[in-house]
Amino acid sequence: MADSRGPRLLMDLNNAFKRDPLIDEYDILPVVEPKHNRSPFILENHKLGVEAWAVKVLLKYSANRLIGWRSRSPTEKFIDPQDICNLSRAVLLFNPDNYTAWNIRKELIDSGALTLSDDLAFGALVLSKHPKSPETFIHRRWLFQQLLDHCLSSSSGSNSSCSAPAASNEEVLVNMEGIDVDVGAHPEVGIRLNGAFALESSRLLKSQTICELQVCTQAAEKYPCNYHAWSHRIWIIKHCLNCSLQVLVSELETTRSWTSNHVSDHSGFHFRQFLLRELHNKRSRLQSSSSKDFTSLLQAEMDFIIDLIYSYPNHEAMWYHRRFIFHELLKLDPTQKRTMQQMNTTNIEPAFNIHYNEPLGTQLISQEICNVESSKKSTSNELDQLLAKNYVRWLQSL
Amino acid sequence: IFSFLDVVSLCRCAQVSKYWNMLALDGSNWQKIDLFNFQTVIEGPVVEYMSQRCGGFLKALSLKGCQSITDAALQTFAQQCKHIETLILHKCVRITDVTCEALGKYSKKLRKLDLSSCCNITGKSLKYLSNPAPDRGCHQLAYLDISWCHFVTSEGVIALAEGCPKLHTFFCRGCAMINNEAIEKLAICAENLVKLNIRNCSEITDEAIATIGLKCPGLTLLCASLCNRLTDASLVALGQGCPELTTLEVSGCNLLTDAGFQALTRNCHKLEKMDLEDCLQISDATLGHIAAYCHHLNALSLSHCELITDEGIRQLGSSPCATEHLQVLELDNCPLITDAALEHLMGCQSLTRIEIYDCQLITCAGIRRLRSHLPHILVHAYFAPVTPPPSVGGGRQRYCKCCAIL
Repeated sequence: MADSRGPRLLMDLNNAFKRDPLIDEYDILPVVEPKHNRSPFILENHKLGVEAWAVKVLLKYSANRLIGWRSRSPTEKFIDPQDICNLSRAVLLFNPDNYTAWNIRKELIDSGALTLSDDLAFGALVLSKHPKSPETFIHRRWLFQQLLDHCLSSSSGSNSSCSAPAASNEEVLVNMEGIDVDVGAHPEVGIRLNGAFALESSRLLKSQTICELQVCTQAAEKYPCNYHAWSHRIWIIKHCLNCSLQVLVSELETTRSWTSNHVSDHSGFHFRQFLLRELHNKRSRLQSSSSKDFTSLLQAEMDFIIDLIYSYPNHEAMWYHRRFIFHELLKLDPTQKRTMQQMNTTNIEPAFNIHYNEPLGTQLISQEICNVESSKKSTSNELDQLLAKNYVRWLQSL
Repeated sequence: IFSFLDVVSLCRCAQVSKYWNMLALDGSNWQKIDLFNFQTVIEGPVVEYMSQRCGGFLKALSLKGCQSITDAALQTFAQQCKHIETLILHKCVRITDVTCEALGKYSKKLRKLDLSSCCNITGKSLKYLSNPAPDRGCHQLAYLDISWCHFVTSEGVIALAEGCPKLHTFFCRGCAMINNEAIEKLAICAENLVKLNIRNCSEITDEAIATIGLKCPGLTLLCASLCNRLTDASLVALGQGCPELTTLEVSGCNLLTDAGFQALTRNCHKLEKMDLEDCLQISDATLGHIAAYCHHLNALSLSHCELITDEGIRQLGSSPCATEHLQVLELDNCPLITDAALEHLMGCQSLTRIEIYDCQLITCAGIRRLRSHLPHILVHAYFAPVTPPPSVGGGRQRYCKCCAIL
């Protein structure tokens, strides 16, 4: 027998969103049984609370109706698009990995019953409670792909809209200190488009991209080692920001403090590795457009991670990041290695002299081993010693 | 025998043998066709072929929800099936005025036409249907539903009124452009107007209802929900002129007060269904009047009528309608209602459903007591629904979950 409260709960939820379109956070309240004859939805200050008993009833009702409509069952053939939207919203708030519901929303967007920005806002709301929902991120990538396609098609084939930030970098000297990801700072520069509509699309894309980076950060904050959030961030940078130099550099800066606050978050470091890899590919442009070069960037990173390792012992994630950085250092040109060597002379113990006729790689390795060994002596922590030992073993295998 | 079968069965029979094929697909068996279950699968060619096969035999056709149907198919249909009497085109969103032009040309016997949700229909369609020219128009038209055809104008309705005097049922929900003039013309020309639904036609004011009161003595159903400009004057007019009224829906008409309902109920004793949701000014006095005069009431909605108290329900509960007729009562979001109201309803033997969502003073115990008097009642509240009552002879006392926890 169907629970008659289903329709009423759905109506209450819809009314809550109607009363306050700016709801930005929601959660489930631990009320197991309704003790009072009162609506389980509590709305205050743009936050929505839902009593726990209502979730099951609402979810069951909405999911059944939605699936019934989808499979064209006789009772559910005619549902208004707005109602479908509300049903899918009810389902996804509490079961965000239901990709059928997300796909239904894709269809609604295609038919015009739902706007892209509304759906992006809704997805951000879902992520506030379910920061690690893979289907939510997958859906968002589809939405951004739609935005991109829109931009490209309305700019009559030219790629200028999306590569605008990269284009503008050639003209502007990049200031490395405290760069904000303000891609929106150059909305008009570099966009050689015709028509206000094209400008509108690209403005929308830009503003949504900025919001998206914030969404990723918040999701990463809410759930440790949030692989989905970070890989989504990578996707955004690759596809919406075109891996522009300005963005890469500013991201490096902004995530620096984040990773030092989350030293065990491997996904955060992995993201920095992606940035460094991309910068490696673009190092000639980096050289020409700014005063710093890639090698110094890497060295700075190495110093940063060493500092972190000694400040916060026992975190394996940082050692793995160190491995990556060291590997990158090894890969660099011999000419650059020589410069770095000269920079390192002050660190060298007298027992390890530089032999210029040896291959430079092994010098670096032995250098590194030496550094680690010396610092190992200064820590008494067992786990830390173990991590250091593993690192040295890896170095020796190179 | 075949004439009793539905479409699917007929088609299956047609596949059995050649002889059955001939019999099953004979036009005379296809007087009434309902393609509701096929919907988007049905396309033009199907309708056209069917028209040819059934020809003059087809009297009733439902294409409800067949969204792919276009004007071309219906034009062929109108030409071939000239004896059509009932045509349902609900949600056939692609059809336009061209279809109605064809109907106006060929379908002289058309009595019932449902064009709801066909959003491309405009006032022109109504002009085609009511075409005064000698050999044109559907002058037998008695039932017309143009709900959600937003583009229909008052002009069209006026033409319709003049050309189709036999109209007894007219639904134009959501047609925001229809104004007083159109409704008044309809009231004057259609002598037998019995059912009128103008839900969400926000331009309508008391004037139109006044004319209805004067000219439509046989009116039984009026739905004017969300026509929020209506005042008590409308109720007075209805009271004076429409004593046959059985269904009145005025939800969202928040200017109505007790005085209006007093005037209405004093003369309209046949009221069976009343929807007064969101009539915020209604108080217990209205319930008193309803209790006194409407002895056949079976459904009453008072959702969001915040002034209603237990006293009003007491009056309702002790009225002649309550014991035998009252089946559905909606009191959700009436904050002053308490368990006492439920006590007053214990004598309503026919009460099958009561809505009390958000009546926060009502307790589980109150609901339990009501259920013990009316075992088959559905009580809709936020409390968890109880399992059906125990069969006769079961001795164990049962508690609803929340009381057990308490």
